[in-house]
Amino acid sequence: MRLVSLSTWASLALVASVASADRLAVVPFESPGHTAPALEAEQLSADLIARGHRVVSSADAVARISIGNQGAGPDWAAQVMQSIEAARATLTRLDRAIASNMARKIGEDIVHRGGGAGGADVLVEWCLLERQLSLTASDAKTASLWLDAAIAFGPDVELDPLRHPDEERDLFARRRVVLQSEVAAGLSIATAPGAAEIWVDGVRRCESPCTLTLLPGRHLARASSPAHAPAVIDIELGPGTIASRRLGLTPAYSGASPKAISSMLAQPSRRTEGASALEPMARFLDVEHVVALVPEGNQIRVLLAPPAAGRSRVGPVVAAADLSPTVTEQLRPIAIPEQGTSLFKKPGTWIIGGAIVAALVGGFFVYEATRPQKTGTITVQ
Amino acid sequence: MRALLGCMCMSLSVFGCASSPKTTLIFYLDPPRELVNDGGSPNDGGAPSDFSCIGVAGFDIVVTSGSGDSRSGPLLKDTPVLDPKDCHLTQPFSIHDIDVDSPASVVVTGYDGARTPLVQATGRVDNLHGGATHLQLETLATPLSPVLVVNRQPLLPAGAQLADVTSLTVRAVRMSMMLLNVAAGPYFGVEPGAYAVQMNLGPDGTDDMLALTVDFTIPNMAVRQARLTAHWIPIVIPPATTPSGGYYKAQ
Repeated sequence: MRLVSLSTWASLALVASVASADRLAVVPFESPGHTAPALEAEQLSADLIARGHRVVSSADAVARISIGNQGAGPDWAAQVMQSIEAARATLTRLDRAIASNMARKIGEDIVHRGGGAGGADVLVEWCLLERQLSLTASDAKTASLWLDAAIAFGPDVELDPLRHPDEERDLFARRRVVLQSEVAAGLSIATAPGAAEIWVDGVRRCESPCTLTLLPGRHLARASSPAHAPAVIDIELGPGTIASRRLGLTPAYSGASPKAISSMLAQPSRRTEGASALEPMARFLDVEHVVALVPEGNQIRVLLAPPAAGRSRVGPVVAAADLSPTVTEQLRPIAIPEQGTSLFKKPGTWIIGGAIVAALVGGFFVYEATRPQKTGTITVQ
Repeated sequence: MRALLGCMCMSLSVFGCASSPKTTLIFYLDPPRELVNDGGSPNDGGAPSDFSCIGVAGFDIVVTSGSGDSRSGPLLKDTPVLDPKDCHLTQPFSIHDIDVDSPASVVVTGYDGARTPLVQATGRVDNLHGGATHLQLETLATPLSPVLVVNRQPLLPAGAQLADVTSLTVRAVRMSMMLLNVAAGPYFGVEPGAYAVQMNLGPDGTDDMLALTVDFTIPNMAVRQARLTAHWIPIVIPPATTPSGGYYKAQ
């Protein structure tokens, strides 16, 4: 019996400690001359999780904030094409490792944006770059898969003869005929809310809900709607497959951009404004506090938005090693100083005082309204 | 609640018990005084030493206060000012119902028989609680125009009154130079008529014994013409023993 009782108390204490934990998002910001302290943010997140807080990882928080702010249209596509050209040039110089790293980053960016909205060419070029990398690694099978992926992404794309040799263009055309002869696949996309624009492989295809017929293979889709953050799909469709996806669109972050907040936090006169701009971010991320880390010299300034009760918006500057205890301390509310006079606790005093003042003022106006006006005489002699 | 009612009664009684006193502000009109030679303040003597008030047939007073302008209209003298010490109102003039707490300004202007302004005094007070203040008349004409005094009634035809005259013209016989052309106005009725002559009459008696013709225009009657002579009448202001000014009198 005693054992049951002890275990009950222990479980209750655990529940209470978890319930009192805060939901936090640790967001590193850059400042002039300093990069964002991403490593310190990750370490702090781990420490806070260890203390029982629920923490949105800094990378995830930054991604969620940025996704609505960064474009994925023709400008972005042109930049990606430049990157692909640079990677191809690097590969020409036989610097395969760097080219491979560049291709990986390009791929992550394209997938992250669901293929973007800048046309299918950029996806095709990325796949052909990866194919080239596979060929230089003597991996013919993977190279073949990348070629199929390129065709699936852009069956209507004509390769630029200035970029691609005749052999490659011939291979692309022949393989396209083969894939087009296979049984087509289908993809049904619905969104909540509806009427979102559906971009598949960089091309605007329909408005949700809708069903598309696609070549078998890998496809990237993106649903975008005004005031909502885009949702993306990365899907592999086999021949004759019909897949359905339902996407929930979350409201886009409409507060100040991380860059703008960084700029404000870097100026002492606008630091409080910058700290205030973090509060919409906390609401968007659905956390109780955003913990902003801003490098200042060799140390890091900690800002908690919104601040705990009784705390200042602009937190202290501490060494990286002291981040965790500092944030824990900043999360602890402090007593709000009581008003200096006990009159604040006595509404009756205020009511009676107000009534006396009103009576005096009313009496004065009554007197002024009823008394004859004071007049005099001017005599000239 | 009891305290509230008590407070209200007290405040009402305090306001109600305040009496409204009868306030009168007196402006004393001082005759013009000649400026001392260094251009400073008027001399300190109590007697007037300025001849600019000679010829004034009456005064007009305008009082401006918060409630607007109040005008006296012509305050005629029994006879025009021919001696500087007579430069004052015949009777005190009062304007009532002026807000005692508002600023007020007073302008007193002295006119000759042709309603030409000769002297003026201005004063301003922030309220009517000051008790008394002085208004200093000052000349409006620099240099002073000589004054011609005409005793008109004996020159009118039998049965005609001064009130019947609509205009008066005075010319010098020599070359028929115009001295005056006066239309009957509010100050015209003061006898004898005194007029500041702004042209063709020398100052300080230089045109003594000038031959004049005086024409009266009376409706339904022929123009009445009279021949007169301008005599210089010097004025001595004590303690000086010699005349320092004067006026012309047509006889």
